[in-house]
Formats: sequence, structure tokens, C-alpha cells
Amino acid sequence: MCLAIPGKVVALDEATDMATVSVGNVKKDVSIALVEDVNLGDYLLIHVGYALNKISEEEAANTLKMFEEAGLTEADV
Amino acid sequence: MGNGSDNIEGRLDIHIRLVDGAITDVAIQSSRPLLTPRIFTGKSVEHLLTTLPLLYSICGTAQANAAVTACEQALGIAQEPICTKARSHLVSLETAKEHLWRVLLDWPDLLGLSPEATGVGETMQLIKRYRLACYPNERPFFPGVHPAAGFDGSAAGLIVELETLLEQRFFGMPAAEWLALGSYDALLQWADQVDTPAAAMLQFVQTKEWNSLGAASIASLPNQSHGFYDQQLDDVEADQFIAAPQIDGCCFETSPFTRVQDHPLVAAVCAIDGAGLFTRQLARLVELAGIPSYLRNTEEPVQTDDPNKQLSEGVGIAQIEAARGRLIHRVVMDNELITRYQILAPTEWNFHPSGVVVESLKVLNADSIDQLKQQAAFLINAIDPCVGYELHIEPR
Repeated sequence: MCLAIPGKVVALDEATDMATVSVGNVKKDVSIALVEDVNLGDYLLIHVGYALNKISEEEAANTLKMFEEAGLTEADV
Repeated sequence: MGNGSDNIEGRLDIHIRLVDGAITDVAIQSSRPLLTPRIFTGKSVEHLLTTLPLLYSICGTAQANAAVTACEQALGIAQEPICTKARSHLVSLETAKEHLWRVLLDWPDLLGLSPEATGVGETMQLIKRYRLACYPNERPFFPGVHPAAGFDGSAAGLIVELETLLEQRFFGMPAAEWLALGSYDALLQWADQVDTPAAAMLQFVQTKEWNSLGAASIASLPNQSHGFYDQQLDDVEADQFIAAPQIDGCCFETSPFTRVQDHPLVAAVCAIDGAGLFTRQLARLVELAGIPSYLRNTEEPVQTDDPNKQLSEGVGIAQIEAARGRLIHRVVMDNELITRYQILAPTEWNFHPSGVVVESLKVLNADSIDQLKQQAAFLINAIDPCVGYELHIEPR
């Protein structure tokens, strides 16, 4: 039962296929080698250091809301 | 709990304790959020099936298949064989993707080589196209939604693409030919001759003489009826069962190895090395190599006994073979709304405090702390938790 976390792309390094994503107040560096055409502001589902796929802003908000309902995130995420 | 993604996912803390260099104890603590499915209480089936794959997207296909199967049972909707087949194909492709991830990303990392992300990315794109060929409406996991007529034909070219990818990036020969190697010696000879991460891993393990590393005897999870899981998950101690499942006080393993242990090549190696590192790495490759022929099988699954016979009205149970092992969902519905939702994941069997990972780590015998860390990393990856983990070596 492996949760995937939505994060917003806040920085890109195309040379290394890496992105910095924002998850709540935390920033994480993830590989975007598995996802095509990633741009600043996109939402990505991330898991153990890799972006799995792009999702819409609405899907990201819904997912974070579910984490909040489950008590896994703070209310301000 | 903070709001960083590590905290959301949870993790496993694996402690190996040593006295005078010998392992005296192994302990696993999990902070995985196992009760997240409670958020579906009071929600509709449509809500569950729309949102669940977003929550669990690393194994989202198996999760979605388990969810729709359980809901169809609870709603009294018979699952038609053509739906079972198309959905099983998509789960099987997700398993292929997970195996590719281990072999092309994790194994090079363990061996100090560069990861081969391209192969995983290509497979993920291929899976999207396969899913679209089966379900142009993009709703494979909703009750009563059928796959496109004749999807086998439109997906046939994609199976050929998968075979080509496996030949080029894994086996250096057609996967079916590789599966027929037939002996341990032939396998070692293949590993010497082929330059892929799969061959490099087997060669590395052989060179280090780590073939039987971590061989432990934990029985395979037996087939259990839906009624059995319904009873366990309806019990007042259901949360404890979900967190640390046992049957009659015994731990069990559910994994790619337990699924293919009867394959002649796996059985031949296991007879010599036991269920150690080499056998486990091989089992992953064997299961992966068999997926194209599974997808090509045109027969529809045989309908077994009606599972609803064992369950109360409004209750549904699904048992799905996900990439890491058997995944179980249980739903209880009243007036078309969910009143209880539970998930029992394979990681809880395999990473149980007395389960196969603990037993495997206990029998390691390394020359140094660094070597112990390396051996543990290889073994844990071979059994594969679905979350990150932290390894703590604690000498006294």
C-alpha cells in the first residue's frame, strides 16, 4: 500500500533530468526521467525519488485533501 | 507528524543488532499509514474508484482492480470473464513495470552502475497505449464497464514491442527462449555472455558467492477463501491483522518468488541455493519474461465458484496478485455507500516483525559492517518493500 505524493514543480534541471517539487512546506529533488514534457508549475505524483506521472492541479488538490482527511498532512498543505 | 512526503508515505525502520560481529536480533518498525482507506467511509463507489488510483499510484492498477472487484461483489454485479481478462492484463503490465523498475533502476544503483531510466519510461508509455487499446473510454476499473471488442488484436503489436524491449534490455534473446534455458549452468553461462543489468546482477551475486544469501524458510501464503479474509477483517482485531498478519500464529511470504517457485528454472536453482538472493533475483526475471506470453493467451479466465456465496449481502472481498504479492481489499456497503473499507497489502506479510525479511536478515554472516549493509540492501531490494526504508546497524 504505497502512497504516491503530489508535488508542484518549482525548479527544473533538464541537464540532469531532475526537478525540485514542493510538497506542502517541504521541497524535494526528484528524477523526471520517467515522465515526458515536464514544465514549471506542473503537478507530479512522486514516489521514492521519481516522478511517476503528471496530474492536473485539481487532481493534486483532491489527493492532498484526502491525505488531510486521513490525518497524514497538516491542514495548511 | 510533519507534512513532508516521507512522513506521508511512512517508512520502515530495519534494525540489525550485533554482538561481537554476529547478528543477535533483527527488528522492523513500520510507520506506514495503514488506515488511510477509512477516508472512503460514507463515500460512493464512483468516488472510491476515481480517487483510489491517485492515492496509490505506484501500484494503482492492482489497487483499482481490487477495489472494483470488491465493489462489484458487494453490489451483486457478476464480473464478466472479458472484464476479468482485460483488467488482469493491465495488472500484469503494472507488474512488468515494477520488475523493470527494480532491474533497470535499482539493480544498477546497487551495483554502482548508471540506471537505465529509458527502458522504464518506454514501458510506462507502452502501458498507457495498452490501456487505451483495451479501454478507449479510460474507465477500466468501474463496475460493468467492458473493454473494447477485440482488444486482443489491437494490443497485439504492443505485446511485440514489450518482447522487443525485454530482448534488447534484459535477455539478449527472446524472453521465451531465455525461459527455456533449463539449468543453473546454462543460466550462469548466459549471465557471462550478456551485457545487461539483469545479467550483471546474477553475475555479481555469483562472483561474490552470495547465491544462498539470506535463504530462509517461510512458507508461501496459502490460498484462502474470501470467507476467511472476511472473517479476519470483520474481527475486532482487524487493524492488528492488517498491520501484522499471521495465520494460526505463523508468518507467510507472498511475492514474485512464491508465484514462480515451481517454474523449472527457479525450482532448479532453489534446490541448490534455497530461497536466497540468487533465487529471488531470478524469480523476478522469470516472472517478467513470462508476461508477454500471458498477455498473448487468448483464452478467457474460467469463472470459479461465486465468491458471494461465502459473504454476507453488501460485503465484497478481492484477492489480486499485485507486483509485490497478494493484495486484499474488503468493502462493506449499505444503500450503495461504503460503510467500511480495508486494505491488506503484501508488504505487511513480507515485512512482518517475524516475517521473511527478518528471517533472511538474521542468517546473514558478513565480514564487516559495510558488507553487512550491502548484503542487507540487496536482500531487502529482492523482497522489495513498497516504501522507503532506513537500515540501522547496531553493534554492541
